[in-house]
Amino acid sequence: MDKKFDIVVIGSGMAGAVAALKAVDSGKKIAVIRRGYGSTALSSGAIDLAADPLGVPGQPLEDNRDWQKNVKEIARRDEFHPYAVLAAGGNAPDLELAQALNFIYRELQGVGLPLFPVTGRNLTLINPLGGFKFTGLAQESQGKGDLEKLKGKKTIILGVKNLPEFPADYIARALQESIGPKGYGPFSTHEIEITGFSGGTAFEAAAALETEGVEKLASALAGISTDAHLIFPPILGALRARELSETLQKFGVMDFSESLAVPTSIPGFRLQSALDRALEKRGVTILNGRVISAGNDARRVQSLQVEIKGQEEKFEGQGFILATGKYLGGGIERGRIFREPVFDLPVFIGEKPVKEDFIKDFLTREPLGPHPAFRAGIRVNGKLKPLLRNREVFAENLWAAGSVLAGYDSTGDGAGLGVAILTGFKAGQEAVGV
Amino acid sequence: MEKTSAMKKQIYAIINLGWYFAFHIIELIFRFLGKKAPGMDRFRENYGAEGLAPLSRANRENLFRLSGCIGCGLCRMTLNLHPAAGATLSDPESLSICLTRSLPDVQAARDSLQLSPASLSGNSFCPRGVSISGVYDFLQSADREKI
Repeated sequence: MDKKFDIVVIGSGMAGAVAALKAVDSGKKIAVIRRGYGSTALSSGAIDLAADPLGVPGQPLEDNRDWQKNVKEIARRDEFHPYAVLAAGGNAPDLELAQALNFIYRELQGVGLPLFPVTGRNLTLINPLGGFKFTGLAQESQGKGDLEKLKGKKTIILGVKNLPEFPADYIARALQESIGPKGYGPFSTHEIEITGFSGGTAFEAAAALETEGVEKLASALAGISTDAHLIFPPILGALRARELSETLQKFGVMDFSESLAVPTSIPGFRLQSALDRALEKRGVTILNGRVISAGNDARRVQSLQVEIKGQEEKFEGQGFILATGKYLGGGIERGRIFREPVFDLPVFIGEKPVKEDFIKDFLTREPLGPHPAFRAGIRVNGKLKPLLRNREVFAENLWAAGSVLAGYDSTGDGAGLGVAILTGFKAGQEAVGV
Repeated sequence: MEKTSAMKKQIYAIINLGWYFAFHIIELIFRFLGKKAPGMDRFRENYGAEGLAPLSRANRENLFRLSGCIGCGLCRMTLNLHPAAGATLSDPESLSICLTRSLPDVQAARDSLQLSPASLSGNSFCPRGVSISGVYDFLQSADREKI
């Protein structure tokens, strides 16, 4: 096994994958070390870029739709947000995010995961909780369900028999009551049966659909879909999403989409699998193991000690990118105090390092506001290099990207995968010296 | 008078220490000869019927690693596991939750989940780093322990 690389990326969620894909563009030898999938695999499957920081529930939906404007507004209002940190470093996060999106759009398209065309405006997509959210980029199967495009159009939420995790009746009623009066919908429901699925989770329903159920379902749906848009539960194929959509179209079901997902998320799994395929296609080495420690010398990271199948191995690199995620990915660990386990970097909330008295640091006076615990992470400079408590750069050849960064809540700020893509893209660029 | 009393206490202490030291030596000899510590038998006697079993240090460490499971279901999707008919614990995620929260359910878990070394070949996907082959190994060792 080769143990010397130009760039070693730790983590393979959206941030790590984009960093590795961008870095490999330079022709250098790249490795990704990961202990498992990133939490991208648990995401809704869509890519949130920037929700309106001034958005108020009940506002006209149109007000929240310009994500580039929202990125600038976030960077202006929240100095610790990664968008603001990059802006302070002389970058233009809104424009560079558009560039990074085009990059990942092409990469995913190349491995069979079509995305909805990138525009400057957020899509409004429904979720299985009876609500909707604003998201900048989505998989093609999801993006066709943009409520803004469907305004005034009859929309049928499809419930699957014996699939309780997608309560179509409840979703349709909730949407009708919340946005129906504003001209969206009307929303109604229709129950479908999937051959080979006698009950269980969305995963089992998707598996049945992929193996035997889609043709029968398509012919059953052909009659009802002439003047209405159909929204499926998020089950349109774990790995064969494109084939499923094509089969539906072949049977005359043309106007349909797929709802966003909550874990267990098939669209999220689909997104992560496509990132893996893109890494393999571009010749990035993927190593499955757990980074135990790092060897540093004179402000440079020299090597990583990695446990692979119970054996310790040493990997050397010229540059390193930390994209280990937050609590799920293990980038920030909880213990008596919160810590970053690979390089033992200080964890910050805002400008304060989390110290022994972290409980006090984590309290908030605004119960409905963003919670500090979810905004904790490591601080970086405008070049994405991690900082020590004294604000000095930790190492000249280490960059960080994604939700390990402080200053934003990757699950609740409406900018989760947007930050991952932008910081991954920038870290990949910086690491190879572009 | 005080001197005599102190001496009596000292002698009593020495006898006590000597007695327990001798007892300890005898216990060590029995252990060396292969007799199990009586505590293990008492534990099984008291808790065996409830499905609780004594855990080794290695098992406890293994359980700690499994406790990272958040029930996201990725392992089920990736390993393409299908539950046995009528099984309540149908996948590794519910199994690892069960192992770390309710040991008496291990028996049921073992019967309901069809895990095998072959099914664990792609075991590198859990976002929390929970090892599904670790679940398998635990079940194997639990089998030996007769949980």
